[in-house]
Parts: sequence; C-alpha cells; structure tokens
Amino acid sequence: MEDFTLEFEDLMEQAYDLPYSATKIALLERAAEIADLAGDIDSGYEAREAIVEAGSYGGFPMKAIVAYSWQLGQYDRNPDRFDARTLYWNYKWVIDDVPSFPDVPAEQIESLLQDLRSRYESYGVSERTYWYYRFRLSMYMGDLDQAGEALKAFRKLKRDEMSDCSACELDEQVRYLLRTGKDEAAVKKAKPIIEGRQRCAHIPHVTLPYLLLPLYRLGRGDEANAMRANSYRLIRDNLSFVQEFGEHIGYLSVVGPHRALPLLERHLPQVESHEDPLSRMMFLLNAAALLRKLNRSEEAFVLNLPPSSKFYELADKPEELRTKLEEEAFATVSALDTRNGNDYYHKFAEQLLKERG
Amino acid sequence: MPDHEEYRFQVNLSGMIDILSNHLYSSPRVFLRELLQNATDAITARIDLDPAHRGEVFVELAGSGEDSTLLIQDNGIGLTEEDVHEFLAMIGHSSNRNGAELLGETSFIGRFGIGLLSCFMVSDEIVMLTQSAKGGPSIEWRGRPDGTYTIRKLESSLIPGTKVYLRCKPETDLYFEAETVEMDLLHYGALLPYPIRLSENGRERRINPEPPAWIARPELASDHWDEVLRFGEEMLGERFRDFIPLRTANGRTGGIAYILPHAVNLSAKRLHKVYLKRMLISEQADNILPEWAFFVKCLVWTDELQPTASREHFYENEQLERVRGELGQSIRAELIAMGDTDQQRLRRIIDLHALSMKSLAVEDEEFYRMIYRWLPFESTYGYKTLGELLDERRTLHYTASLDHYRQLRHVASAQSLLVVNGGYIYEAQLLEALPHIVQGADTRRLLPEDVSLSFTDLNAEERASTLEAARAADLALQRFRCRVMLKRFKPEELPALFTLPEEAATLRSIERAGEESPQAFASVLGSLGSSMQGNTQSILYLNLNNAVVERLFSGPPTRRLNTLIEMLYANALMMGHYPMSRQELALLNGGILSLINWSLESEKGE
Repeated sequence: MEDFTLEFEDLMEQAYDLPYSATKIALLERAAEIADLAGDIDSGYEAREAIVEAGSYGGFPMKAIVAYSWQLGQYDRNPDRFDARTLYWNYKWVIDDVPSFPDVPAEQIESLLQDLRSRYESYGVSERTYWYYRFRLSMYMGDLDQAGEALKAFRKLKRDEMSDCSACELDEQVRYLLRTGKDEAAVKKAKPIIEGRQRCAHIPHVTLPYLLLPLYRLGRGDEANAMRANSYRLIRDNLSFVQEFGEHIGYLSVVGPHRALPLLERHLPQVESHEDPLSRMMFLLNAAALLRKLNRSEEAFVLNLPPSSKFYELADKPEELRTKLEEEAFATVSALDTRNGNDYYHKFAEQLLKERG
Repeated sequence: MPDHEEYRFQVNLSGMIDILSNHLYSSPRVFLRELLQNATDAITARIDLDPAHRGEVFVELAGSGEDSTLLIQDNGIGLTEEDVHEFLAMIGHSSNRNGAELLGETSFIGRFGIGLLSCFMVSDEIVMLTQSAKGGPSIEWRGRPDGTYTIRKLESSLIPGTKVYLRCKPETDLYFEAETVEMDLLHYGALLPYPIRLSENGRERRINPEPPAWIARPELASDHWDEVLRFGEEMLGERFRDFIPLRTANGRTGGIAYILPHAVNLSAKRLHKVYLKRMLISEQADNILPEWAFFVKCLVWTDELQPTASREHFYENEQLERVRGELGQSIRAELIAMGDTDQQRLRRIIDLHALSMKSLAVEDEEFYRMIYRWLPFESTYGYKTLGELLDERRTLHYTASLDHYRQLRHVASAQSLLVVNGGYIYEAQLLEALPHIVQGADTRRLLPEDVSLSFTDLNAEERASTLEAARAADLALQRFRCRVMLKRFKPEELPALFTLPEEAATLRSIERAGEESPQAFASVLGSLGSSMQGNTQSILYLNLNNAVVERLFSGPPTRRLNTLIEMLYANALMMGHYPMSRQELALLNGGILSLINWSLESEKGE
C-alpha cells in the first residue's frame, strides 16, 4: 500500500512536469491503473481528472472520453465524494469532442446533450450552456440551420458559472460566420481577438488560422501575412491543433506552396496516428490540396518524411501520396456525412480542394 | 488672467482611472514605475538639450500608515504652463477613445499625463510643482479624482525640474511603506545610469548601484565572472553558477542568460526580466527568448522593442522575432563552443537540463550533432549517455512510448537486448534521427509484439506434440480477445508473458471504463470500441522452457487445461501490472477456488 502511494505520487508528479503529450498521458494512465490495482477510487479519480484535461487540451480526445466516462460513473455512485463543479465543467470539453468520431451515432450524441442538460439543470444553472453546446455540436455535424437556432436561444440567456469564457464564445461565433460564408462579418467580429483584447488559453490560437484565407480573399493579404508567423508559433507544439496545422498548410498552399513543405514534413507523421478522425481528415484534406498544387506546378520538390511514417514509401511519389491522403480523408468525410445524415463535409471537402489545390 | 483658476476635466476621470487600474495595469504598485518613467523621460529630454547635464531622482517618504505622503523629484526638463494644458487636453481627448489607445500614447507630454493619472490608484490628491528648463514661471497643479483641478503660477521661481506629492488614500498605505518603495525603485530603476536617492525617517541612501561596464558591453561579462553572478542573485533572487552573455548584432539588445541551477518544469512560464531604455518593463517576458531556452533566466536590456499598451510586455512583431532569434543564437553558439573547449561545463549544464537540450536538439540538427554524446537516456543497461550507449557497439532498439518500454524492459533485460526508452518527450525523435547524425549508428524502433523476434519457435516435433493442447489453450482465452502462442524464451522462470498492441490496449481501457460508466456514456464507449480496427488482439506467450508449462503441454490436453490457462493469463496480467476487468478478476477467484478444491481432492485420494 505504501509502495502504491509513493509510486502514484511519483507518476503524478512526473506527469505534472510535462507539457501535454503522449508521454504525459501514458504516465497518468499508468497512475490510474495502479490506483485501480490498489482499489483506490479517489486516486483513480484524481488521475483521470488529469487525463481528461491533458486529453482535451493536448489532442487525445478518445483518452479524455474514456477517462471521463469512468469518472462520471464513480460520481453517480457516490455524488458526495467528488467535486461536482469541476466534473460538470469538464463535461463540456468531453462532449465537444464526441462528434469527431463518426462511429458514434447521432442519437447517442443527442442523448449526451440531453444528459448534460438534465445534469446542469439539477446542478442549478441555466440552459445557456446546453444551447451553446447544441450550437457547437450542430455546427460540427454540418447542420448549420440547427446551429443558428441554438445560437439564438443561447444569446437570450444570461451568463452563469458554467459559461465558457467570453473569448471562447466569441471565437465560436466567428467560426459560425466563417462556415456560413460571411468572411467580412467574421473578420469584423474577430477584431477583439485579433487585437488581443479577448483572449484565453485557446484564443487566439484557434481563431487566427481560420482568418488567414478570409483576409486574403478580402484583399487584405498583408494582414494575413503579418499574422501568420505568430499564429503558427502559438499552435506549433500542441497536438490538439491539428486542424489548425492544416489551415496553415492550406493558406500557404494558396499564397506560396513551397513554404508549406516544412509544415507538412513536420506534422504529417504526427497526424497520421492522431486519435481524432475529424481533425485528421481536415489536416489530410489540406495536405492533399498542397500536394495537388505542387504536383501541378513545374517546379521540382523533395518531401522528407521519417522512416517511421506510414507514408515513408510514398515520400518520393507525390502523386501517389496525394491520392492516398485524399482517399483516407474522403473515407472519413463519407463516414461523417452518413452519421450526420447530410452532405456537408462532402461539399466542404470539394470546395476546399478546389480553392486550395 | 488671474493666477489661480479652478478647472474641471471635460471627462469622466473616475471611469478612466477604473480602466487603468482594473484593466490595464497589473497592480496599483505600478504607479511608482510610472512616476519613475516620467522622471526618466524628463531627464532624457533635458540631456538632449544639454549633454553635460547629470540627472538625479530623489524620493522622500513622510508620515506613516494612512497619513503617509510621497514626494518624487527629478531635475529633468520640467513643464511649461502650455505643456500642462497640453497633457490635460490629451487626457480629455484620449478618454473619448478606449483605454488601450490612451496608454498607447507615445509623446513625452502625453505619456507624462497618463503616468500622473495612474497615481490616482493610490492617492486622492496629486500636487505637482514644475519649472521648465526652457524658462517661464513655475507652475503648481493640484488634481483630484473627481475630475477637478487647479493651476497656479508661483511667485518665486523653482530650480528646473518636477516634484510630485502624493497623499496616501485609504487602504493603500501598503504602497507607501519604505520597504515596498525601496524595493520597487530598485526593481524598476536598477539599471538607470544616474542615482535614485530615497529619504525616509531622516535617513537618505542611494538605491541603485552604479551600472557595471558589462551592461553596455555584455561580451565583457566573462571577465567579471563573480560580479555578474552576484548581480544576477540580487536582481533575480537566485544563486546561479553559470551564465551566457547575450547580444544582438546591432548591439541594441543585450543581456545575461543565467543558467538555472535546478531542473525546470517544462510547462512552467519562462519569466525573464527585461529593461526598456534602462527601465524595467517586465519580469514576465516569456516571449523574448525562444521557447527551447527554458534552462536560463535572463536579464535583458533593449532599446529597440515596442512595448504593449500596458507597458508590461512587448508586441509580438517582426522586430521581436528577430531579437528572439539572435538572443537564442547567442546561447546556442556558446553551447556549441563549450562542446569544443569546455566539455565539463557543458556536461554539468546538460545533466541539469536534459529535457531542454533534447528539445533544442530535435529542432536543430547541428546542435544535436555537437552535443549528442552527452544526452542521457534510460535503457535496459541503466541510465547512460548516448555516447556511452553507442560505445556498446550494438543496435540501439528503442520504444516509441513509455508503455512499450515498461512492457519490454524485463524480457529485454533477461536477454541482454539493449533497449532504450524512447517514451519520454523528444526521445524517440532523437533516436530515430541518430543515424543521420552519427555514421554507423544503428537504431531501430521496437514494438511490444516484436519481443517475439527474440523468441525461439518450436521445432516440428514439438509443434506436433503440443498441437492439440495449444489449440485448446487458444480457445480458452478467446473471449478475452487474447491469443495463446507457445515459444521458448529466457528467462525460464517466466512461464508466461502478456503483450498488448496499442490498439488492443485502447480497446481494453474502453471496455473497462464501459463497465463503470452511466448509460449515455457506456453506449458511446460501445460505439467507439466497435469502431476499432486492426490488431485488437493481445497475445499470451507461454514459455516451453518453463518446467510447469512444459508439463501442461506434454500429451493430450487435460480437462483442467482451461482453468490453468486462465490462471496463467490472470497471473501474466498481474505480473505485467495490468489492471483487470471484473470478468478477469472473476477468473482469478474461480481459479483459486478450483485449485484449493483439487488439492483437497488429491489429499483424499492419497
């Protein structure tokens, strides 16, 4: 028992010292495992709380969902033993990632949303957060009409203790404008974020990459160019920003495809085994667009992939590589559209390849 | 015009003070920095007129508790009556915009007014006496936070410069304590090239030291080793043992990077202390050095960067990007030079800051080539440097994750296979890149399922004789998605080894969590689990070198085979420290009861 406590503390401490990474998760999972072996539910809960955070913020959504499910089960059995506020706050991170997995049917996502709604209601906060997440999830699931409705309902309600920070809420509304094709309105709405007046741990990280091409389309390429390096620096080392890596590649593919090669070389090996199918798909689409662009140009180029990459053999066959990446991406596109019951991602992908490829 | 007039700002002053104190400044304490900045700007302006002028700042504290007053006096350029009207007009003008623009003000007069305004955070009355070096009458200005103020021309003429008197407002007396004031003056003004004096309780002393020569020319710092270290301790509050001078090519940014004397948390904020034009601008500048430089804490002085509105950070722009790059280059160049000339020193630094060094090596091949020999790694041969590991002249097997390393470690040790733990951050990347860096180095990534590579297959005869039992054993664990394989391997004491490919491990954890989850999540986990493809089977290797296993598999399968295989499975899980599902725990229980039962039966049989 003594040994267990020591080892547990040691693992937690080592994990604490690390940035979000596979190593951190591995240490925390090990800590959860030995807590389970020792039958220590409180320690298991503590380790999993850390996994949920590191998973949600560090690009391991599946790990977060698994750990969170366990936590919620323990809480339901013993509600007085754990802190409801933290647990319910983290629900938002977890539910946000679920639609990324096409194998989770829409009914199950709906029942999660209703579960969140009733838990928040019994916890004593308003339906604002429920509507806000319905808005986000509908958007990710390609149902922009429903997202718009939820956004309206959300806006009518007052902030409360479960509300996301104002920077995050603003960002998500910018995203909605972008997805509905309103570049100018989106850029305008994002102004406080661009100027650094609205920010948090994720903002402007997840906002700026999506503004690059809209700015360029609006004839404000200089602003996009000025923003790019800093935007990339913010996200570069965190695997939860895979979609944003893709966005940078897509932007460079339009304005200077050769400059995107180092990004592709750096991130493709990380992304090919990434847990989140939606993020992986977004990245691969942009990567494919870049290769399409490069293959069409006369200039020769070299792609340097490490031997451990599953695409290593294709590094010097760019056209085959492009086909392969597109196939993989479209497999997810189809799976998502089937689950969502619409053709949103198909259109999205076609449009993306046309504009950037 | 009468010499005494009552005015009112054309603005809501309390609103502006609120913006300043609650949104832009990090603490009311910065009022002292603002006052010192005003004094410095005034002295600089006067020196521009008269290069021989010697600046001086004098601060006096009187009274105690909430009766405290503070006087700050400079012998700078002073303000004319027009100047005073101008800064007031500027405040009025900028208040129609937002507070950030207000603080973005860059002209001397404009900044002066803003600085003065910040004093309302700690005082309900500000009195300023000023005499311009350009002549004209001496002016007295009295301002109150309700927006009223008076301006009066004085009869007598003061010496050029400015005096500001503050009377402590309730609950801010802590900012008027001598210790706090002294600390802050030193804090903000330590590098100023002229004296700051503080007088309190009749005692007067100089606060800031004469700035050392190596401040202007950091390349001289190495000749003043002890002095530089002492200075670092005073300024940064830590006892350092080593440092690297910093300098950009144009000489407009310089500094000292002190090597942190302890290992650092990789996710901790890097807080460097930065002076802009010799005044402290930030102690939390995390963006002035590259991210990999987390093993140093720096004092940096610059006159080429643009501060943000609150004057507590720098704008992230191309200028900063360049400075960051060049400062990083200073550190890198020195480390590389150490590799040639002072390997002891390099090794000391690397031992303390291995993680940081590894992250730098990942980004920078040339750096990696310089220092690879000293980078430490965990291996089945113990903790060794990469140089020592290469000296073994063997293939370096490495694992890509910590989990894999833990699984492989014991088997690998038993077979004296050299396996390096690549599970920690950056390590697998470094090991993968090693053959590009070092001629003849042979590194190979190892997966848990690869341990079987070093296992011996059964020969045809053995295979034939165990076939039937092996099939039955394989069937016994099918419901756990585990395959059974018979092999021969070391050590022979080990009857069984459980290996779990990554996908199978994920599936295993999904299923275990599913047992514990509420319905809504259990069904989501079910969907996620059913979507897993590829290699989701674990493998239980049974060791025919082990006497018990050999007996179990000689001849046709016994009717107890199922239970025994299940027990070996549960045992291998426990030996590998895998947490067990409820189903697996039930196996163990059932198995132990069976064993007890059998042993009782056999006793009766005797």
